[in-house]
Amino acid sequence: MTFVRSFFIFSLLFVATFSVAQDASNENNSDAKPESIAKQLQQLRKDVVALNRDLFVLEEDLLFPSSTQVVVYLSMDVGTYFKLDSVELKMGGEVVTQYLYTDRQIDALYRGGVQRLYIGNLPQGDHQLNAFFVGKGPEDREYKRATTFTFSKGADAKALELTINDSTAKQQPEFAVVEL
Amino acid sequence: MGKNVLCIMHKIKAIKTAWLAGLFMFCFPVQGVQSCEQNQLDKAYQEILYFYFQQDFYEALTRFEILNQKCPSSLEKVSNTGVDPLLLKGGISLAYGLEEQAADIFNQLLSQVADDKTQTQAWFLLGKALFQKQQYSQAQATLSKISLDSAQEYLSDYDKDQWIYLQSQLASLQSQVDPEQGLNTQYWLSELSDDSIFRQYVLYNQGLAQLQQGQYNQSVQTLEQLATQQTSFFNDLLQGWWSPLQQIDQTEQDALRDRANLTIGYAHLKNQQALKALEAFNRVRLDSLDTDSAILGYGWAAAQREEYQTALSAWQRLQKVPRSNEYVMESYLASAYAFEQAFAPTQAVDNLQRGLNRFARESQFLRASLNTINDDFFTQLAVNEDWSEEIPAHLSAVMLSKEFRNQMAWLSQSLDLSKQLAAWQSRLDTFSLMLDEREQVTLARAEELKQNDLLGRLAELTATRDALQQQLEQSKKSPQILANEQELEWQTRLERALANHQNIVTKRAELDQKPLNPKYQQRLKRLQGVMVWNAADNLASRSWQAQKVLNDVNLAITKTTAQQGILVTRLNEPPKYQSQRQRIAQLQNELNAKRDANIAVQRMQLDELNSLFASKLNQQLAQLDNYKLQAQLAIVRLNDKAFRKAQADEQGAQR
Repeated sequence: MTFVRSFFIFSLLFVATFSVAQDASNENNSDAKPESIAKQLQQLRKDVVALNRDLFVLEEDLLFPSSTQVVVYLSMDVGTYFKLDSVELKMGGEVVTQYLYTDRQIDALYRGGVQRLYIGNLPQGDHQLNAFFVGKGPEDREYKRATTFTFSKGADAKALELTINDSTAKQQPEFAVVEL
Repeated sequence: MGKNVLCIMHKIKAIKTAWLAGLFMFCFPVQGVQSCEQNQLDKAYQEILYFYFQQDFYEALTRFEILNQKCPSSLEKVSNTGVDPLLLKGGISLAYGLEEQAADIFNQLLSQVADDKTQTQAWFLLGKALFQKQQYSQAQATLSKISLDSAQEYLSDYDKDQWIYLQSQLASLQSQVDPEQGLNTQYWLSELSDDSIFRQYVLYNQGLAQLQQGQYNQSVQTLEQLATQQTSFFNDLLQGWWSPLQQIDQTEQDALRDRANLTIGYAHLKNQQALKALEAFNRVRLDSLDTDSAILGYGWAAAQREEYQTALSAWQRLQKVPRSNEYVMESYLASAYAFEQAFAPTQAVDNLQRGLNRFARESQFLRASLNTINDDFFTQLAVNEDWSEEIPAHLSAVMLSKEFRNQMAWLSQSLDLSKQLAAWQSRLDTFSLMLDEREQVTLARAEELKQNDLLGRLAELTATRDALQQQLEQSKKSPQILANEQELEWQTRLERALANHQNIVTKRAELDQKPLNPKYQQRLKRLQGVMVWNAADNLASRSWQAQKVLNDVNLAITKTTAQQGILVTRLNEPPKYQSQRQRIAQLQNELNAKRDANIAVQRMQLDELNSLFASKLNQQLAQLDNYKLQAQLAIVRLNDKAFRKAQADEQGAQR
């Protein structure tokens, strides 16, 4: 039985020491054969991104032609005085979108990302936009604010931006709509 | 008559406006104008950031491609980017697993004149991409272009530590190929941040390399630095209130610490240091990936100290584990060894018999799996993100191997692509239906337009305009035609007075009465003359105004006639959705091609998985056969030993 024992010790030692979490030499051998699949898959994923681009552009051209297109973006400052929970957007008194934010989305907004909150169609002429912001304000209190903006839609696509900024002077968040 | 002229002019204006508006409404939707104004460019880039910061790399890359297509070569115009947008694209490509694309982007960046920061970051990311592509010598050449000063200045702490770690890994690989090149790990360790997770990997690899070179003491010393670090127990006690992110690092650290303790344990065991081995195995957590191996080693360390009761207790605990791996299987043979050493051959045989039963059961499971597991099994498993938790216990050893997990990850990616392509297929179908519907609506509107009298009205209005022009010409002879409303009223009253006068004159003649005084008629004539005089006096200005309005109307009628011509032409043509239909058809073809390619890749992946699975199962079956053989041999040997002992006892008794 002693041969069994010594065999175990050496074989286990081999298993324990060579199965390193980030041992690159292992990868070299094990991935050698399926590399072609990995490469093919990589190329395919790249092609699908390009296809996705074309499909998105087609979709936008078909559903939101520039003569009627209206886009509303949302951007945020550092969020010292306001932590956003949700936004409701109305166009001409009708709710067109309601959005509830995750922590990850809020973080992306804090870090300089801008969300395309709404894309839709409107006829040419004057329109009114109402945006309602719900979240936590200074001292972690429930905070709900609204802002209204009247804009004129012409023959070209219209882009607007809802901005949430910290006003250090007022120690309050400020909500505004900017025409781009 | 003049009143009529003005009214008609108002009507013409109103109709002209409505007509032009109708034409615009009738126009086909125009495709999006590809304008790249600064704010639009910035917004598009910030939208990319929004997805990037959420680690939605697929969406971020798609938006990048859209931006590139709409505004080619305009990335450098994006304002307030922080990092070079191209560098960001390369980084996203790398994170999404497109190493080739990432490498191309970084090479492109490095071929341009870039600032030091961009250059350093590009070298780093390119080196990382090459490392992931397993092009180690190129990765080493690329990463070595970054100086330590540049790394400290331009890379984040995490990236700098990763840069050092990658270089230590590459040096480690180089030392394996060429052992004469010693591994100077101390240099890397001195440059790594104190709290970096990479420091622990470098330490582990250093300890491992020392062990492979037979430097037992140094290896243990190195690994002990990892093995005795604080466990997450204390962190759990403090509930991680300082940073939720630290818990993620802690999990990795715990796993590394377990692996280090396991390695130390077996190194001690090999060098007959059983007590130290026991201590090391004891430090491995009970819910770790290395638990089974540690328990087996713990038993061997106890057996080395001839503490067979302790060894048996460890191994019997292992035997109760439902998982099927080499440590569990070997525990049966190890237990028999301990029983034999403890002079309990009957229990040893019993234990071996139980082992044989377990091996037979496991073999049966594995053979059944060989026959039953098919493509569906893998595809259903791969759609589940936590698939590793779903696998049957007796397949854990096979399916948790690195090769297998890689294959499953690729299959999962391929299935995701299938899902995306199927979703787009459905949307393309919807777009086609939508175009059909739009075409029908357009035709119906055209038909409606043809049937109402809007088209005929232009001819009426043109005739009216011509009549008015004629009247305007006549006004030179009869200026009253252009009289204003007041004058028209006076004119009416005068005509009424003249008629009354004529009536009175006639009646009086019929009744043989004295004729009216001629001064009445003279007064009326005088008034008539005054009115003609006034009209003639205002003729020039009125004529000019009327001509001006008529000219405007002429212009409007000319434009409207041209628009009507276009409209009529369009009405007579079928609606033109050809370009959109072509785009849909083209995308449909591309979609089909990608779907076919994906199916082909999926087929290859499934074949690889099936083959790998069968090969691994066969290996495991061979291993089980080996255990079975060893157990059977041990039983024969023990029985033989018992028989001989019984014989010797019998002979002794006979003597």
